[in-house]
Amino acid sequence: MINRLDDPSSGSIYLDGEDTRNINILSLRRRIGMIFQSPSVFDGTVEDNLHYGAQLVGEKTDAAKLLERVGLGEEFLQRNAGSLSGGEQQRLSIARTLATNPEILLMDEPTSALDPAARIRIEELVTKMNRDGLTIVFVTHDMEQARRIGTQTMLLVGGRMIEESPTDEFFTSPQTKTAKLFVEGKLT
Amino acid sequence: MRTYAQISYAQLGIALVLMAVTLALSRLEKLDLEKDLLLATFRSFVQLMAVGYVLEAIFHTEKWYWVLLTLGVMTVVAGRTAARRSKDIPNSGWIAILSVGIGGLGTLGVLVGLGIIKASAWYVIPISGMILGNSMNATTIAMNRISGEIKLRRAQIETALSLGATSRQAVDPALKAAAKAAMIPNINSMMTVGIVSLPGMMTGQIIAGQPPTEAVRYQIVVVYMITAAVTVAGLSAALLSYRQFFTKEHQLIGE
Repeated sequence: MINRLDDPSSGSIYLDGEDTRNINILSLRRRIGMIFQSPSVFDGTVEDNLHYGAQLVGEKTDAAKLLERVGLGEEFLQRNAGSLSGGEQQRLSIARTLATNPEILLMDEPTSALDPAARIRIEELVTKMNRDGLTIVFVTHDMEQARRIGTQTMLLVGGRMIEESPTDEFFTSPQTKTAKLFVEGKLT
Repeated sequence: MRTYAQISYAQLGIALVLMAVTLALSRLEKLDLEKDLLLATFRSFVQLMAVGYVLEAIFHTEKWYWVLLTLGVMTVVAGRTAARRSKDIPNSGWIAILSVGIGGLGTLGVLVGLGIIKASAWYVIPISGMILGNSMNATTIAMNRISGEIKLRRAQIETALSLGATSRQAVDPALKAAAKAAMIPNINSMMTVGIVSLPGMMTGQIIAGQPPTEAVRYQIVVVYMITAAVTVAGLSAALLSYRQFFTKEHQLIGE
């Protein structure tokens, strides 16, 4: 909903104080890049995939540099995107989204379809991108994962925001009863 | 020119023997198709006899509005038939009628306008039958395929949208697949026309006494015309259909 692939049935979402419904939808989606639960690559090579977003607005992109940012070597450029492993495809998806220079990266459970090794590499990448200055909204059901990589944690239950606080505080001293139950693993 | 050998009602009756053989085979092999075969035999006889009389009346009046009405009825029936297989597409009826109309009647209009086909009921109605029939099939395939492709490629389409693609850009691979699927059967038949199959119109002209060298010229025009009609109808159907799956804000509808 943040990038308006769908709209909320009620309420509004603001980006820098502006209702997202008032922002041109195509530019909004380029400002808020999205990574899905299961990586989805387009037909063609890794390089074709990396150029996709830039080509939409008639721009060019440095494919090798993008691959480097997500920890993939230049040798991947000419490989068929469909032949990559799940973890590699997810990293390619991140690089493809970074090509549009997003201000925010929305990641919807990006590791839930990956094996543990691939999950760790994505988590390291997310932490690094965040340290480099990229704002990341990371959706997860995994409490430990939120603890490992989060800086600010927001608990949403049934579409409503229950609590928002720095990650350390959220897990050590939750303020609401619901958040407390969640942290104790007792929220049903 | 050879004289045309007519088929009498008695000869037509004798041809029914073929249907009797078909019925007997169905019964012998327990295909359980006897009821359908009897109904189909009856319907084809009645429909074709009726259309014979209707066409004869229209050809003799030569009134343009009767010709237009006939073309209109043919287009609507073809469109409705095409839409029947794509009920999951909202407004499928209108989309199919419009696609068949643009492809079939548009192509026919161009050829009549260029003077290649005579603007007479004798020519326009039989030829439009061939064009509309093919446009109907192309529309059916294109609509069916685009709907299937969008469902199949949902994740890819949403990924493209999330990268800032318009719905048209996001759906491009699905559109290409649908348009190709609609065109390929016609391209195949173009490749083998005259070798594997002798088309109906050419066969008819030859039986009616036209020299084959003249009949083929007409047939070549018809083949090109059908190809153009199929392409326009298939593309129109795919382009009009995909819009039904998106909101104006480039959001893919449904789960």
